[in-house]
Amino acid sequence: MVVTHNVKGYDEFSKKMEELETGDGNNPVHVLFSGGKDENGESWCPYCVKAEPVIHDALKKAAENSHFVHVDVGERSYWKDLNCPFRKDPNTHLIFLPTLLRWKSPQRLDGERCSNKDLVEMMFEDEE
Amino acid sequence: MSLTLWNSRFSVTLVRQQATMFMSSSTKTIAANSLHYTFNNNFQPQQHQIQNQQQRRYSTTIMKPINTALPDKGARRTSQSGNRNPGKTLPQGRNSLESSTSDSGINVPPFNHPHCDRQAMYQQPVRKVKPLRGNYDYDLVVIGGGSGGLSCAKEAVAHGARVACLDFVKPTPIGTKWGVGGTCVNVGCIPKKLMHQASLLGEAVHEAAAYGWNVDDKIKPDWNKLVSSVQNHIKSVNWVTRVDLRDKKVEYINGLGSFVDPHTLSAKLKSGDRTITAQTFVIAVGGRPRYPNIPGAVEYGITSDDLFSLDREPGKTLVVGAGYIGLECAGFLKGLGYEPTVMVRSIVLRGFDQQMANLVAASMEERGIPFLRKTVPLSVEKQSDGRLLVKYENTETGEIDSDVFDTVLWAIGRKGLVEDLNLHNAGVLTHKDKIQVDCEETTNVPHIYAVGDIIYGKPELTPVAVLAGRLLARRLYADSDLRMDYADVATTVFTPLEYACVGLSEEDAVKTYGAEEIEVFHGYYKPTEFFIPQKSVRYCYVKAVAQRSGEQRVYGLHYLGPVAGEVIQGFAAALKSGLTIPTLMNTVGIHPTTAEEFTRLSITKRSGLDPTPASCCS
Repeated sequence: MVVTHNVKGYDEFSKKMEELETGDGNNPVHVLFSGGKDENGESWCPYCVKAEPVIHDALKKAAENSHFVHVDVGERSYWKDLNCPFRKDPNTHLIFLPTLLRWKSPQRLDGERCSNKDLVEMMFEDEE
Repeated sequence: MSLTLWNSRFSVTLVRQQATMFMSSSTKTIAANSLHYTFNNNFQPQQHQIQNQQQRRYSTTIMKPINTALPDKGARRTSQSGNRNPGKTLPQGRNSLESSTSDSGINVPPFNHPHCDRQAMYQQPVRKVKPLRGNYDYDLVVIGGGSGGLSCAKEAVAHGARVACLDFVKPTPIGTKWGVGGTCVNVGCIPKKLMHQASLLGEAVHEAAAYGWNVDDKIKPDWNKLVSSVQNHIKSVNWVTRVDLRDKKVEYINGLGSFVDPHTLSAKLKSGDRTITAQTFVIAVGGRPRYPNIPGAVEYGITSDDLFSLDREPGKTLVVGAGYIGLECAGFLKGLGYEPTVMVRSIVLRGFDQQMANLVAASMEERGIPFLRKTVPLSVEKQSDGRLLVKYENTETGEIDSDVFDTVLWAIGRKGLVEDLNLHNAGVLTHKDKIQVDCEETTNVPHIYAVGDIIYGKPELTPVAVLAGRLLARRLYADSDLRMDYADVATTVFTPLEYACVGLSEEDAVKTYGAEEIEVFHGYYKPTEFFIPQKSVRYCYVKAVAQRSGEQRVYGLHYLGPVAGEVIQGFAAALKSGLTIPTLMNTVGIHPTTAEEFTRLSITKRSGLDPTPASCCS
């Protein structure tokens, strides 16, 4: 079963990744970065809204014991700041939201590709 | 003579290229000379005319007297078959050329460059392929997921074909393997350019001190860090390639394909064998480095396939071979602080302009890379300390010598990967380890094509394969008539001082047109930014090889200096557009750059004047 984690903001995110790396370094960790949601549960990022169901649906293709971390990046203005730590972190180097990636691996999808079922499944299944 | 004149209807280039492949050198010279003459007298009037079909017809008309002035049918025949694969049935196209010219002339630019293949590209009717969706698993199976194969597969899908692309990498003798994308991405241009860049950066740090930066003099490279950065980049390119294939609905099959019959392929996959049928095949399997047939070569030597992912520092390295791969590897190894030695059997950079080649070698020697000339390796033995003892012989003196190295890198050439394909099951003929194709990239079997490094006698360059593959797919599935023009492809050798060229080498120009018909403009130059760090300008040199009389067409441009590829690319477009010396001289340079040196060329070799520069702005 894929272990799902939900974190909000950069600090929670870094802490979670550290924890996963020390605790369970061998299993793949997939990370989805998406725009934050308001009190009604609605995200300011339309592509994130579109991608979310596709990704959650495709999660069943991911390896047993792999992790899935859903990162709420935050408000639009925070993300649009070019000095946003998510953009500066050499391990994330985020440019687009949503971005789905395999932690410290070449696999990465962004923007509209995150709502392409075929590609998202490929990301979760990829063994190279 | 008549033979060669007949050929004139296809542009000089075609003759030049085909001549290289099939004709004796004496025939070639005559062909070229007479064509030069033809060009001067008949093609010139239309140089500045506006593009339209009327004018195309005009050009056809004026060519006609020459074409029909051919008495000898036998010679005609010979020249025709000389242009085709041996044993291949001649298509009607060429014989009915005159009548078909006006029909196919719609897309033809009115422009006739002496060594561009445009006539040949457009004039013959393209074989039209059978409709899609036959009784096969796929319309098209591309064997090989490198530059050529991928571009062909993606383009074919874009035009509605059902396409599968096979890719498989056999590990090297020491176990190096890599992902989809072919040589360029994994073990060629890309890692090479990155390591070259790493080496240039080291050089730049040293220069920085002269420009006022406070830098530690003790900078040293971290090989493992470099390798992992380079490999990470390659892996993300591999991933992007797989995503792209999936996105474009090209079925990617990670398996080794071999023919069972002309329409059936057997693919060896991790999960077992799979049989695949297709109406059309494109062979794009590329090549791999050769190993010499001497004791210890395979056991202890590595090749460029291994170098970019080597898990230890290369250390003192013997680079055997002085083609561009050998020189580039030796160049960046030196820049990274290792000690490469280059072993040269006969000449440096075979196939390139030899004056330039020798300047490249001299510039490397000046940087402290020793060249063992006229030398061949005899054996490689592993010593008890793990280092490699290489024995070698000077082929002139017969003297045998030896030295100890940490790494021996074979860069003696590449072979086509025809072996695993079982081509005889499909009836495809090979030539040495390559496959011969006609001007539509067709092998001797009409539904089997080949592009990229696997084809015989064409430049082994990624962009060539990419364009050839794409154009092939368009002809197959998109009603296109456009053929690949293999002439005047620019290229760069990424040695520490880079060399780039486009068009003919000086010796090829002399061979083609005769020494009396050639003017060579040349000059040494001093890059502005070399002064402050006092970098050697001894080998910064440019030359233009041009027609001596008439329009003074530029046949070839050669540049030795920094960022050579960036400099020559634009000039390549100019040359393909029919660049002349007067145009070049009337072009205003960008100051201060090194590329502007091409606009300042005023000294001819024939004049005997000193080609070394006076000062910067004179």
